[in-house]
Amino acid sequence: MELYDKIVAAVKGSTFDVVLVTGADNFTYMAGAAVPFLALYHDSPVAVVWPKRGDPTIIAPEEWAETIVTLSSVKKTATYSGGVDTFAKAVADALKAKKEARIGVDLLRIPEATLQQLKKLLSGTTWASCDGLIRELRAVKTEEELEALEDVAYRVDHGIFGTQHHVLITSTRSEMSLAEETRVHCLERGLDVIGGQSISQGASGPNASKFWPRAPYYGIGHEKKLKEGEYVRIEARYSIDGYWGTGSRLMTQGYPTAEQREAYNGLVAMREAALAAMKPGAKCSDVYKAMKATAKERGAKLVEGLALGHGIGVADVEAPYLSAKDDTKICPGLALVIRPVVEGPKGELLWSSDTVLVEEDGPRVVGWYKDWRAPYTANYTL
Amino acid sequence: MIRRLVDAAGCSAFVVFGADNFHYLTGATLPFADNYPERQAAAIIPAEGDTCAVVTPVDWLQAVKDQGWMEAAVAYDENEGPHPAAFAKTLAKTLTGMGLTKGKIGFDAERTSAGLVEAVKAASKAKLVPVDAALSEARAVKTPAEVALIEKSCEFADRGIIHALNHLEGTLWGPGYTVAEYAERVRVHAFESGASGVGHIATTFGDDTRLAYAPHSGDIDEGILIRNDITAHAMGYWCSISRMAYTGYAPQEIEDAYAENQYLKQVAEGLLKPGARCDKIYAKVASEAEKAGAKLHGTIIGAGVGCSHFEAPYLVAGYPAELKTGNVIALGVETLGPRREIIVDRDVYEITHEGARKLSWYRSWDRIYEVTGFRAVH
Repeated sequence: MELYDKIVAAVKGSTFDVVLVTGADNFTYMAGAAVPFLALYHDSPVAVVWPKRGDPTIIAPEEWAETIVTLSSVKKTATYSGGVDTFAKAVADALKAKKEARIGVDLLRIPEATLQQLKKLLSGTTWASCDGLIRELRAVKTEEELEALEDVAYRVDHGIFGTQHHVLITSTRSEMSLAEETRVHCLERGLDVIGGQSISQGASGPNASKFWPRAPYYGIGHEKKLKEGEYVRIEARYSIDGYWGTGSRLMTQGYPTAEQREAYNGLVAMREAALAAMKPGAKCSDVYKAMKATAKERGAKLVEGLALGHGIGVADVEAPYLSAKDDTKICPGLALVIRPVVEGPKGELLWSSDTVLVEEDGPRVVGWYKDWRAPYTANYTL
Repeated sequence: MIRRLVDAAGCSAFVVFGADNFHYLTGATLPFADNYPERQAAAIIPAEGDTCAVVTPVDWLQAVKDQGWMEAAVAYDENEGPHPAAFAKTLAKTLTGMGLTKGKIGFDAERTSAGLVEAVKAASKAKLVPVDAALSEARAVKTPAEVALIEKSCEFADRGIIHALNHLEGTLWGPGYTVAEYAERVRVHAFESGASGVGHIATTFGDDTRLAYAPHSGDIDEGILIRNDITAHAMGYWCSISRMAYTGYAPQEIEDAYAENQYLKQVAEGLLKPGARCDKIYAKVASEAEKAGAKLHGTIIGAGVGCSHFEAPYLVAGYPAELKTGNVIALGVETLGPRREIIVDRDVYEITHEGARKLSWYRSWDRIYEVTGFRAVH
């Protein structure tokens, strides 16, 4: 109920008479319902209508209502039958009593077509963006959320490590088996391997020079066997009760060469620069700048165009972002993933994601099953 | 064909943002774009000229090219502004570079957030007009190549389910599978059979079969009902399949409930013909259900599949569109069993001149699958 009460207080303290969220991620957060398929059904949308006074209401297709209510902390529902037009009508009906109200809506999620329909159906209403409110709410986690995220981060790391432990250079395996073993290890550690994006991936040698080798077989893996001397990247993104962990760890097939170590040390240095810069009062963009400066100093080949980290919570990528233009203040309660990407000696794309919880006395890296100041080194034999 | 569509809509170009529409216009499946609303991609298809373009985040661009995209491909820099400003800025620049600053630009308003539309309007002079109806109508009628891919996806999904069920045989007496392990077997067997992706998987057991989805936890016991729902794709073309099973010999009441469900599905299947109105198909099934004393769950009995696993046309009340040759429908009549379990046997059909052709033919599911076998190890 900690989260529910926090939302109640936030809506009460806002400038809106009612808050309407429609994005699957925002819905998951506000309704407290981990329903993994919502984002995949654009033509069966859902919403939460959260008034300043009174109980929130879920709007859902009739066939999903019982499921969503069972999984949700919000128990009042209004259902609709049909597609997006009837959805808009159901939302308008739920908002009717709020005529001439100021409605905060997640403009960065609600489809333009739905918003235009709502504007027609509720002509006297003022619509304003509540994206900032939701972003802030989601970014600063409750104690319960932080505990959940720490737990998931550890299990994901353990799952990846479990796979690495099985790899022997003299009796190697394929990228496909890396992906599957990681998935099974994560499953064995109690993670939910559910949701379209809930995948693991293994990429080695030349295949690691792509973010997504073998598109569109994402997270399935190649039959390519790992070879001695290669850099291997293993990724996993799984959840528990709707809270996500995303991990990526590196492994060398044998003792790392000087060049491989140098590339990895660049990542380590950027992580340390990020942690040093994550002081309360600093901005996310300051953290980005510190990481970028470190990459330059060390001559690390940083892949440009990407944020160097992001928030994590009910989505595995969410605000705030460790990017040049994100001026979100670093404060206790943030859960961040540090994720710079560098090019390795043979053009491999290398990253080693770390989940960080920002606390009163600074950032704390969570989830390390192994000391990741060095990559995992695969053994030759048992 | 797409260019004709752009031209017919009176637009100088289509710019689409939804992952399904992106796939339709480019042939490229983005890596789980639906789950990343603050990362954006667009496909730009002008009515005239030589060049089309895509704009994506840096880490998606290679994946698009690897799927055969030979036209312009531009990555936006996430550091140029908060979402959606950085993307909108690069998109506007790309549109300008393509000479698309004048005239109407058609976009998918049912897939594009209002905030993104605002940002694109602020960054460019583009006059955006919704073209969802035109896109939806075009997507609903499949080419033979699209149908072939959907047919493959059905086979992969069905194999995923049947192989997982086969694994369940002989495991019910000891400490057998957990629900999560079983669900994983559905997924992994779909992949081993050739699927290029899985979207939604729900394996519900016992009391949980009353829900559309329940977290995958607990053990699999004897004497319970199982519902397997899976959506999977073959190179971006989706199916939606559901199958029922029972751990042990199904009691008469379950067999009866399943037979009732099969009857209603056959009624619907018989109506899947060009010219049939979607709402009337639903109405006929609802009236037959009432006559038979069966209770329908929900108010939709089918939907199209293609670049997404749930798209037009919809077999639902209030949807008057007529079926056309080339439509592909996932038909699943959901009825309630003796303890309010949701029973459904979802198959995929192509609408042909002669009627409905089943694409999910891998195995007959006209009787509930009973997990009664043993395990042989040799």
